[in-house]
Amino acid sequence: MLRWLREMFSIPTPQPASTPDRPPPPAAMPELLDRRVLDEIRSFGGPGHPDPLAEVMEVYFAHTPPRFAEIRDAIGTGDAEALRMAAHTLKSSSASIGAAAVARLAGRMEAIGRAGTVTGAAPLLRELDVLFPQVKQALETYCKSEPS
Amino acid sequence: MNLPVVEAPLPRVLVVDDEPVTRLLLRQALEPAGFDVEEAADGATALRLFKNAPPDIVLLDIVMPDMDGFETCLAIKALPAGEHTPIVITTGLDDMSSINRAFEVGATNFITKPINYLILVYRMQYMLRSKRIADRLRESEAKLIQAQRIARLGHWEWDAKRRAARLSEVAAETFGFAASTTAVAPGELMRLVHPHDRVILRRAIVRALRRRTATSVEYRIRRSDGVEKIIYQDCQLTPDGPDGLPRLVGTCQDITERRNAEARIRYLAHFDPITGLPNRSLVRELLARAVANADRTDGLFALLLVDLDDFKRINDSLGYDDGDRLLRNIADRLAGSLAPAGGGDWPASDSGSADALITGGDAVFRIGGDEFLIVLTSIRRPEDSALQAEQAAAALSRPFTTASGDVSVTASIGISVYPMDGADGDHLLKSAEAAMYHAKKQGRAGYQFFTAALNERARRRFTLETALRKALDRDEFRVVYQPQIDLMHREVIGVEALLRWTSPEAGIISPAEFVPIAEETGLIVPIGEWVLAQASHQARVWHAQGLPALRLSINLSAAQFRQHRFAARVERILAEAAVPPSLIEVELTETMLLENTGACSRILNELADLGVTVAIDDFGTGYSSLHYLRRFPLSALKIDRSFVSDVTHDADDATIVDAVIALAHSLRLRVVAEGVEDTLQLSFLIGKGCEEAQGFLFSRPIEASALAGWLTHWRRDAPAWPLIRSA
Repeated sequence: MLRWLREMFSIPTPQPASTPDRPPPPAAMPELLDRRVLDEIRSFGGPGHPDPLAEVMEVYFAHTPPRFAEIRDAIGTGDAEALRMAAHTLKSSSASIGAAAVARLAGRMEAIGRAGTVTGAAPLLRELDVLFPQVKQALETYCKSEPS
Repeated sequence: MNLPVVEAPLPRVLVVDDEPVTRLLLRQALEPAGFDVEEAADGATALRLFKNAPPDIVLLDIVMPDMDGFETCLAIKALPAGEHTPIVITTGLDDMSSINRAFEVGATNFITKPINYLILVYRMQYMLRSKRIADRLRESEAKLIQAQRIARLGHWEWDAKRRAARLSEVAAETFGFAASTTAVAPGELMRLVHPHDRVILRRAIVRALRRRTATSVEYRIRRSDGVEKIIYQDCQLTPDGPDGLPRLVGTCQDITERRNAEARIRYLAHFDPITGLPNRSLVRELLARAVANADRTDGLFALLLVDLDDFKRINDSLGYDDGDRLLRNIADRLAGSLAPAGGGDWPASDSGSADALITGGDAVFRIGGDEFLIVLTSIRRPEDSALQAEQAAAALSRPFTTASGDVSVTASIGISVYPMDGADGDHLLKSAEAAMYHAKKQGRAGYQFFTAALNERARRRFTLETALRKALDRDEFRVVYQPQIDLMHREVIGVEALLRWTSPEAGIISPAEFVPIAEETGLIVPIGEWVLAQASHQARVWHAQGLPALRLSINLSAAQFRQHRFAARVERILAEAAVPPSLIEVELTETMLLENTGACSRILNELADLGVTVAIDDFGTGYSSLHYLRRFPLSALKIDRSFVSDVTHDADDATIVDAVIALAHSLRLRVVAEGVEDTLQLSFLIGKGCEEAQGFLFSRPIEASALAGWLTHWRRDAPAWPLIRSA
């Protein structure tokens, strides 16, 4: 029940404080994907419009790498506002497509940017760099799976 | 059979989000649900698309670079089509403050991310349905407003809570308020209403409140911009207000143009377009009123039918325009010839009723091509209308300038007088016409009365007036003196100065005939002054001859009395003749005192201050008021000869004389009896305590030069009349 609530409302799992220059200790691995969102996207399909999810996926993977670059630049130059905007966009698109884990990390970075700083964003970005290929993998797997 | 399929256009939704995945997902969710989706990646694009073709609904992201969702929402709301377009904002659930702010900038609804697309679709369909209903409502409201504007029909409702009238846009405009004015205090509205119409309006509203039926009323307003309007208003108490209480609602319609058109039609029907004079259609009504008016006041009125001599020939020699101009000039001069007291003011074009004409007094009508009718209601005697005929003829006597040179116009005038020449308008017109034909036969350019005897009287009046104007210069007046006797001491106490006129043309003329003419023409003022000067001079002469100082009674007329600084003039004349004012007694009639009591009181006090005494002449014949007897500084009452002559054989007259003497004594006034002709009358008067008397019994009025001789005779032979009867 608690896990479900956390998923629903993107409540970050409590973690011990981490230093910027070391990767955070591995946390309890949350779900990479939000299957309900993915199922809903798939349900948009109809005659003459067989695979909406593939279409969305294509746009997502085309537009996401530039966001990563923007986040990296923002951290590099210490531009909190740029960090907030790029992280927000990433959060929004990731949540939309059901990439729940990416959305959560992006949301935390957005919060850091909104607080007027970039401090603490770099480890999250490193975490995201690790996470993103896994998410991509999971999404592709989901795409190939039969609708439940 | 194939029927063409007409599909309703799909509802168009504009998705505004900087994030392409969200846009694509929304498109994928909304298109299958029957929406036509358009995308904008930023606020500026959204605005451009919105201006090109306003969508039915907008989905708007809050967080966007450059122009965020709040700014975009405000900008859309500011567009003409944006005011009523629903805007749904999309935002994260963690951002409640954004939702509040979105509503503040005009968002209609919100949905949180991640979006539940099923709920979104339902929500949007619901919003579109409300929008369509709202649009239809607005459209029908707009149509209603437009229809009301065309009909100039506004409505209002009494707001009991705010104690103000809530006005519709048209109603606000009708009353001259800005269209945005919604509530107006009743006092502010009432202030615009014509003062004469306020009572009517109040009554109508009270009636609506009491009877609960629709009550209509018409009233005039003057708006704050000075424009005058006529308003037709219906109001009614409806039992079912939203709060369950009855409410007063009403409509108001600007009917100014309609009323003006009606007035114009009335004007065209009743007035001659060339001269602007009322035409024949109003004559009958006016005459009916004049008859009623004359009957009520025991008055009379005259019709002057003015027929232009040989006008057809004159008119034929002129062009149309010139002929019309000539007629207009003739009409103007005829109207101008009316006595100013009568009604020089012409009824304004909007009155157009016999009412306005009759209250204006005298009136001129154009009743035919070359015929005018003058109705004179302000005359006192039939022959006064001859004066008007003379003035009309004089007004036409100056040549008229036309394009083809000066022309002379004369008229033949027939006069009929109510009641002697006809009992109603038709008869009077026939009589006037007959008299007019008579005037034509007499050689035109003249006037004739229908009643032949009136012609004689009118001519005599003119002869006298003309002669009277010259009489002072030609020294045709003289003053005679009638002695007044102190009954107690059997002595001559004074003389009354009386005016006599002998005209070389007309012979000896009675004052009863010429004094009214002198009064009407104003000649009485110089004549009266001459009498005072003449009598004062005579007193001086008598004094020089060694005659005893006698009191001098002098009659005053109303016109003299109204003169500027009258008392000062009297003082100067007496001073020039070196006559002490205490010897002078002026005689006034009751009517003069009643005409202007304020001014009278002042003048009489001034005279009293000089030492001049005041007697009331002809007492009992006019309108007697005990009030003025006490109010003014009077010395004596003169009992009119008509009472005195009958005291011995008419019990009523005896009673009146008795009462007058008693009244005078109670007010400490002397009594002078006039017209005492025999010893029986004298005994009666003495018996009642009358102090003084004059009359043929003692002496007729005599020439100034004969007074000394008469006095000698009087002293020798008196008393030839009975002694005072003991009580």
